[in-house]
Amino acid sequence: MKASKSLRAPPRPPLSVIHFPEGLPGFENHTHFTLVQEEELQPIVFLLSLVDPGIQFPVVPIQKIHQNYQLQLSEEDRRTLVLAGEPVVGENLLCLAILTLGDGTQPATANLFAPIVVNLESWMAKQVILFNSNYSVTAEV
Amino acid sequence: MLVFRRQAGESFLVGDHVEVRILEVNRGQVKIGVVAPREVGIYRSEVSRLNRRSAVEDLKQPEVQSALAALGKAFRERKDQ
Repeated sequence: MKASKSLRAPPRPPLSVIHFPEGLPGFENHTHFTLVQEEELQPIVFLLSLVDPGIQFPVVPIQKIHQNYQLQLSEEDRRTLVLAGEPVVGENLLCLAILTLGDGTQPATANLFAPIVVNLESWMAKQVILFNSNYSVTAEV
Repeated sequence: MLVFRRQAGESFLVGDHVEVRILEVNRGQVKIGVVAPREVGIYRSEVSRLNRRSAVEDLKQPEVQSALAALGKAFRERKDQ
């Protein structure tokens, strides 16, 4: 019997697994995620749960929304992220805002108060809550 | 496991916001007080409520697709900030 090549799926690049030791608020058991891109929706990407791939969050790099975004990490945040050096967004850190889609009556918003922070060296991540900031959980985009 | 000693009247922090106070030690019993700012819990529940709204379960839904496409386009049309 001849093996049919066309039936085989094309090889996919390996997924980068992002580890959230604490999960996300409301999704505490979702500890492993990956980022998925869809070309036509850029710069929006999807944070896809590897615990339940039915759960995904649309996210966008925070600098697309706020030019001079101030990310203040606490000691606890740094420990969770296993962050050794100085945090520099775009270099050793990825900082993403979760988007909430509009529904006709409400506009789409971005959560600037609780960004997703990924350490690009350790792939440890956390949804950081900036308790002392004035950023909105529902900033209009 | 982190192990350390405290005397009555002393306290320690769990994370950045929760303080545990040893109030009294008496005949093998320890009286403990926990101080957590009310806002911390309120913020956390606000974030988890919003996360549940943001989570997309079915990307194929037409409303979801069109909302995402419009939002993606709006971001692309902005100057890269």
